[in-house]
Amino acid sequence: MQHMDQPIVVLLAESDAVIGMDLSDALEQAAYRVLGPADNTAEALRLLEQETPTLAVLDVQLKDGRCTQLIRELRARGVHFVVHSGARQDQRLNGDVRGAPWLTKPAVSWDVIAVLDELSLSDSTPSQEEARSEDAPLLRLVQSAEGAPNPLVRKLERFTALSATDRAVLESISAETRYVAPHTDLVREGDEPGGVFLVMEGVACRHKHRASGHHQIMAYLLPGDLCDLDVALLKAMDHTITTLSACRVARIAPQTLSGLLEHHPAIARGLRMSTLVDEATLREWLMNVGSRSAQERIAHLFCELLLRWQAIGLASENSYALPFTQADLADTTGLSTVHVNRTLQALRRQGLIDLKGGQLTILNLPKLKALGEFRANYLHLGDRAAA
Amino acid sequence: MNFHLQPVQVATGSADAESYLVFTDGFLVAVLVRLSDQHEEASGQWFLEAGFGRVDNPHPPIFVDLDQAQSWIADQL
Repeated sequence: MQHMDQPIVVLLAESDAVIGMDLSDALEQAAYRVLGPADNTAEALRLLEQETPTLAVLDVQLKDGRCTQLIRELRARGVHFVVHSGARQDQRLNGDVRGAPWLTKPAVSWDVIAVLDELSLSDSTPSQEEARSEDAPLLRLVQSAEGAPNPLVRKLERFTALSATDRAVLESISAETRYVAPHTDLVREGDEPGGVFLVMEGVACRHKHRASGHHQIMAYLLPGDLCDLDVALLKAMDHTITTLSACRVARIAPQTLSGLLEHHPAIARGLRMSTLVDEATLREWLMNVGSRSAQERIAHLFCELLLRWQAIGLASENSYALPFTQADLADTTGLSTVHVNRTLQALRRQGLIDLKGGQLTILNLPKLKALGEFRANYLHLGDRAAA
Repeated sequence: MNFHLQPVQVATGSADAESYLVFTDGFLVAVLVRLSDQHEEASGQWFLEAGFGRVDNPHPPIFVDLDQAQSWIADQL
């Protein structure tokens, strides 16, 4: 088993020098030791000869072609790897990379780290799921969550006063989480809902898709958000819930939830408030797609996300993680990716935002709010104070 | 189908300006805009900035060249 003070060694093979350097920095900040980055197979093989890493992050197409030989050598040495590639995801079923986690390039560095964390844990606890959930604490998550309040508790406390028992109950229903890779369906339209999903880390979304494959995203689920309190009343899901970034997700059984609503009135009040806020948010998003210009839509969304991340203690005064692609933003705002790109550039030019490496910084919040006609009333963040 | 392309500059509020008005049989059916360097891998390709009638599309496509754009437009008509 990997000892805590010995950093896990990761081989990084990445054809793009800038992405390679950024990722290498991020991995080292997350306490990994990086071999590379190597931008070609020959260099990666040379590094591999010198030292066998625990894990690897591979861009399949390197400067000197597809890194088939590198994959073979890693497999021979039992080194698990993550594919970080701009190639289409349907190629993941192709032969030598089959079964490896796949992240679309450029992935947000925390996604890459989350997948590596997961791989390193599965390496150190070969006895699989049960052992992992009961015996082996999720090392990095425990570290990062230390002292940080549970996002569900934190969110409901904005709406209502919780007792120590209420908090303990919420902690216990959200304790058993599982890791879900980015772009994974949690439940699909037409499925029988088997419980309520609670997002504890990362971002998921509700969406519907057309026969052509085009999506409309109807909601973002941030940490502490759960989908459909009363979904167990339905026979079949009328929309799909999918992770956008890597997520930690808990599934709450319908009986557990009905018990909560029955025996813990403060929790029930908080959850019902949160459903009202979800509906109010959907109304704002409908205003966005129906009545606001491209710049107004994006400005409004960015203001909303700032307050939502702040409410769960995961944003600074003006900056937060935006683990979405431009295509995700396009699917959310009913714009083309071309218009999203133009709009982001225009907001940058006006000195309103900066967007780097999946981190959004709002440089002029009053102006951005004015542009999107953003009023925070629908998020009901101050309700407890007012009550 | 008789295509006629007329070069114009479109004020898209971005660096994408070089454009064509696309006429078929004398009717304006589409506006194609060439994507600037701002669009990374899509730069140099042609975006359906506007489509009229049957060429209108909620998910406007991007074409690698003008031939592909015209053949797509012809398919819609």
